[in-house]
Amino acid sequence: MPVTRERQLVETFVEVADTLVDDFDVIDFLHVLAERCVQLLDVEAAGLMLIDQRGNLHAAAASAENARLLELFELQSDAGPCIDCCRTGTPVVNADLTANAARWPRFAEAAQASGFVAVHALPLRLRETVIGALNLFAADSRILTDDDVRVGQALADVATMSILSQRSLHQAELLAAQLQAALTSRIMIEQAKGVLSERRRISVDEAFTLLRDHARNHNLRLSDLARDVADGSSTATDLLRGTEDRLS
Amino acid sequence: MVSDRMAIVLALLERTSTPNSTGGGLSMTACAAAATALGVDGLCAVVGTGAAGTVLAFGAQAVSAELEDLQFTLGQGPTLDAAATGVPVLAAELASAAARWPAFIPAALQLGVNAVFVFPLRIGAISLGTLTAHRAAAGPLPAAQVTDALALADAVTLTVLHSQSDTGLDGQPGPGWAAPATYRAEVHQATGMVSVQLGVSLAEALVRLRAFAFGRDLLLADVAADVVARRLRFDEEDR
Repeated sequence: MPVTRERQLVETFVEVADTLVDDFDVIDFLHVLAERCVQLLDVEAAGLMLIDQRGNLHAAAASAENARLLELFELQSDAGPCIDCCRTGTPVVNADLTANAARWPRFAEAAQASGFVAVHALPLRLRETVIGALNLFAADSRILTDDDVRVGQALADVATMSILSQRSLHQAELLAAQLQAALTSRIMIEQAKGVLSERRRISVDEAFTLLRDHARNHNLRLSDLARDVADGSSTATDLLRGTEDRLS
Repeated sequence: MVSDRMAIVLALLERTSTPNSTGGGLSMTACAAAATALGVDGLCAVVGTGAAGTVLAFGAQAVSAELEDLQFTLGQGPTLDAAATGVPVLAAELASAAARWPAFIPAALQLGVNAVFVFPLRIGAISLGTLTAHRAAAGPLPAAQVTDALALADAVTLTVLHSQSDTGLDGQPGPGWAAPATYRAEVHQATGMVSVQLGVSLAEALVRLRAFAFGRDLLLADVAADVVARRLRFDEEDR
């Protein structure tokens, strides 16, 4: 029996609510959210970007931890729909890359080379402040309906809440602290991916999967595990040596 | 975006703390200019945490030094919290924070300090210390100054990173030498890989990566991409 989207939506929001009331890992949560976006909105890939105070974009999470998608984000530092969305705080929806090739030439070229023909960007917004964007990449030119956009924006709002939820937010300066925490966590995960990929002779993508599975199986926060791996802490010995799974 | 005032401070830092300069300390001029840009009364960087050795990395006024001493003596305070959590601690009203730091607050108030803002000197799991700003006037640090302070902390982090390493660099630094490039995922992945290849800390691995790029006039991001793609190994190439 096929699961209806309404059912999926309900399940997703129950999952989200369960996570947000708990002591959760923000980057891990954003990854889950990106995966749910792909399922619920029937797109090829989804990614969440955060923008720091200096205007630099950071890839915070993606549905598929592949370098290709991250590269797209990087290229956007120049220009692209996600940048436009972050700057203006308004959604960019159903941006056909073939039709908009002149508007964002480098982005359009890179995205099409990766097999994406349309892109949507929804702002992560807290009142007047934009802290990032939810990006949806489609491999076909199917139109995102108004309902789809509302679902997408709700998921983007959930992402914003997850970043800001660990403490209540009253002032702009707290926002800086929360953003910084999320970005630091992301950097630790990248460093840990590097350490693990070198130790285990695997790709950085495989290293991320391994990290995430290990955190899940041992009920650890992803960023805590990443810090232990990056520091070469003894608690991560099994994972670094590969003595507990078959990937060694 | 970083303010014009802070941009000048960062340029000053870049010029006075190039990889070839000795000591890697920050000049009093840069420190004073940074305090002015942030609208605070004093500023100091503490490298390393705990009893193992607290080093005032640059021109602290007497109050800054005393503020740090107090916290390490009492074992509590915003600087210690920022060091422990790795997240900025922005204590805009010390008078109303007595519940959080009961021993520290009265002592700080007695020094005439009513607001303290601490920014970790940190790149992911590389944790070097803290940058602390203090002010006699209570009240939040405006959003624009928070941005400036984060940019300053990034620049100081790189300066400290290089001053702690023996890895020397050849030649003159090119433009953008001080750019942190911390928004590139590959730089951090490569840092992790190089640390394993060389058996060194993440901090030293990042210094080696930057030195390699610098010495060959390459972009750090390109060198990092080569490492991640396993086109470049440091245990073979960079002895």
